[in-house]
Amino acid sequence: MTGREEDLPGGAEADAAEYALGVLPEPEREAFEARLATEPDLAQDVAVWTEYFATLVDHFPAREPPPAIFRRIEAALHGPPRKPIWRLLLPYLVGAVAGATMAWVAMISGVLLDPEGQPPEVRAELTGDMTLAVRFDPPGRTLAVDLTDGAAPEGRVLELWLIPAGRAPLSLGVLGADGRLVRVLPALLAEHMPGAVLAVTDEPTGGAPDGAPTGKIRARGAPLPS
Amino acid sequence: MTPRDEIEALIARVAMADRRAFATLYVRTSAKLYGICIRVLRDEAMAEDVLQEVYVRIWNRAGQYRANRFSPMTWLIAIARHAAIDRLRRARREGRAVEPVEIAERLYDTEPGPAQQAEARSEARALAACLAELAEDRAEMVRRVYLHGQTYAEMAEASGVKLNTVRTWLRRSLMQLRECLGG
Repeated sequence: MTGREEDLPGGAEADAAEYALGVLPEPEREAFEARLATEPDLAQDVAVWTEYFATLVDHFPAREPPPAIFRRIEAALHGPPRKPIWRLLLPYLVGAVAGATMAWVAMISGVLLDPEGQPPEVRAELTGDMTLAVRFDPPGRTLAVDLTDGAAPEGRVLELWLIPAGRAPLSLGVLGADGRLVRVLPALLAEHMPGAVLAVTDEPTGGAPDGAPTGKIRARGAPLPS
Repeated sequence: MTPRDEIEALIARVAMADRRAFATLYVRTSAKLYGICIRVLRDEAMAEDVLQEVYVRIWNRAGQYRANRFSPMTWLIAIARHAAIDRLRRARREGRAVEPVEIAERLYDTEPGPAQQAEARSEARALAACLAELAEDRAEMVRRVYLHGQTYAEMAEASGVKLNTVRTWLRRSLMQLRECLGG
């Protein structure tokens, strides 16, 4: 305890405003964020302040950004990523279950508890007409997928689906032309990962048009560890 | 579909990794967000970099949107403002501060005219009215913190008073604002 509360006026209500303004100093900010998660009134306060403060930019004139920016953004998000180290470490996944029948024959190794006691990363292999190596890191919600064998049919793209138990498939994204997909999953999607089945379908360029799979299932895996 | 609903639907589709929705969202919102970056940073190269960062964050965080209860435009503005302020603070620390130069002011600064004020959203009018009730230097402090990312340390240095004194001023002003806004 710093005794700060005794010195400064406004209590948690003023903290909420400072937080919305981005001037709440560390380590108070961190402590405040922990409270936000459990105190809806405080979160509501922050939301209301944020709405009000956002009006301070209402009169700023809009300006078209140069056209190159969007290409840079797309490249940053979907361009060929650096070859990740973990990929070099996982040669055993490549073709490990080659020739396995399509349904349910898959290898999952939820091993490698790291020394810090973090939840283990989840690795899975999807098999069928093609083989894909999947790695998911729960703390960072980072998903990395590599097509290790096979190719998308001519003029089609490969789309990865998360199939939560008893629910409709959710798209995890479309693999790039290089056969890779790396992204940070939104929290809502990441929550569905444990116990879910992953599958890959071929879809028209750009991915399934209505957010539901339309093509043939090309590979799938066993349920991810819960 | 209202523009608000449309932006909200686009964010939801971006959360599902829909790249076309992302492109549409960019077309609908990038001019506003770029305008904010330019106005905060007063430097086009920095504003372009920050805009790129902003949309990468939007792509990565779209799934968290609903959890924080902001209206969709406010959520996008908060991301843009946050990224721009971060960059501005870094530039100031590195001595590349882009101080409010007169020319830059003329180029980029546009205070709301009477017509714009008349069209302003009710929240904007309420905040403007309540800021006007504060002492002018205190209202300016709130604006500087929000739009220039001024820190307590910088304000303390500029005014020659203790950091906690500056902080007490701002917190009091914020509580006054809260009461005025119907807190």
